Amino acid sequence: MSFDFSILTAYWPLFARGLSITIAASGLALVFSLLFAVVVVLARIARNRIASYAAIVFVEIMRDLPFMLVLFLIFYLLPAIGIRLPAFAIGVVTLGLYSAAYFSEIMRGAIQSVPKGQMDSARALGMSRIQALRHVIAPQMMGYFLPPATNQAVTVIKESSILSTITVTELTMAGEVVQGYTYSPIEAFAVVSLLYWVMCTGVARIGRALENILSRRHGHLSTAVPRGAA
Amino acid sequence: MDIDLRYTLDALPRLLEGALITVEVAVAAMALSLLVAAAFTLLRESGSRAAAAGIRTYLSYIRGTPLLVQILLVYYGLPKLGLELSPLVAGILALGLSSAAYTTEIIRGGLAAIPRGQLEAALALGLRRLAIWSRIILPQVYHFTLPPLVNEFTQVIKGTPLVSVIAVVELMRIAQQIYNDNFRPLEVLLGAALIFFVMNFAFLRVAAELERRNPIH
Repeated sequence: MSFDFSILTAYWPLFARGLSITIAASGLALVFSLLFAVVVVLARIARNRIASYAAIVFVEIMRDLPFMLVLFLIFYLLPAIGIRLPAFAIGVVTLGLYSAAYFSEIMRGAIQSVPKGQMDSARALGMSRIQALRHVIAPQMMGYFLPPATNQAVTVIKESSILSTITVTELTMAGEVVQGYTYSPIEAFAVVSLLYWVMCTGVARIGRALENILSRRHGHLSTAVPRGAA
Repeated sequence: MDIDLRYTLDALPRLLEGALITVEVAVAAMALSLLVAAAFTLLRESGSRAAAAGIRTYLSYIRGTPLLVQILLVYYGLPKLGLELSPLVAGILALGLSSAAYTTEIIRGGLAAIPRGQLEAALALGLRRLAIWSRIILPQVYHFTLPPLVNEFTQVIKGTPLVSVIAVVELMRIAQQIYNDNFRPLEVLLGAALIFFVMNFAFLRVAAELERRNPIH
């Protein structure tokens, strides 16, 4: 077998279009997911029993179902309740919802990881609540939030490939189309894989860079806080 | 919107047959995953630089690309290399090879959790290598890795609907077949969701229980 690079020169517009749709879908889903995750976390830690149970049920259901199944369910549910959306929008919203279940658990973990005494100590040292949040609590939370959140962001990019099953013409679909035209599946999916790999590795690098910036600014991140600090 | 749950009930027997295939696919893929991960671990422990670099590249590829693309590559790509595979075998192969990357890391974590001093102590007591592995290292690796491995198994189960794309007739594909006939996608997919939920819920509880009972902690 010889590797045929001509599919790149012949079909690069298809790949480029797929890539741009994948970036748009993952980016939008990520933003929506983080916003919705905040709502879920607030509901989860609320005093209101119903809100907190609803959040638990939502997270539990999402985490036990495969994304493709949730996607299909919502794809058929929306028209049934009279909402007509393009496949792209359905894909973005569903991916955002699904991923929000994971992000909300990451956020909850980060919040709970900062010992309650930290706020009291900061206040006792004369900081205002805002100052304590900004200089003491938030930096520590970020230390617990960033590494798993970076992983989840990468997962969002990878799961956006499943939008191809509801006819979104993103990158994976581009690979399938090109392999259909050319009968060169290895080359087509090698190009697609490489593009995904660059995106995922890039996001992982950005996440790690953010961790470094934060830990430099604040001396250390929460993972370095001694156990006895609580 | 009218949802008629009788369609869900009607679909359940066939969906359960599909679930059985889903579990079979997942078990076969997980077995492959464990075998490949064990081989990777041995290769890595062997100290060969080339092997270590090859494994690193493989793990990076798997973790940096979507499972769906990996499945498509195996299904459409292997015949080009002269390996004609049925969708079922291609699906199991793709799921297993992909999971192997994560399983390799789980095993590495399990090995790393055993303090070096134990090995030195065992050697100092004059135990043979075989005894050290079978009596000291492996039992602990088993305890450390069982909960994350059960977790990984649920990940494999959640990956199985993707092989419906290459026409493996598992739970997802059977659901599609049913609602292509009766035009009740919502009811049928609800049935499939229920089955997935029960399966994963059960396995995750097993993982949590195993973790709780872990005598080493």
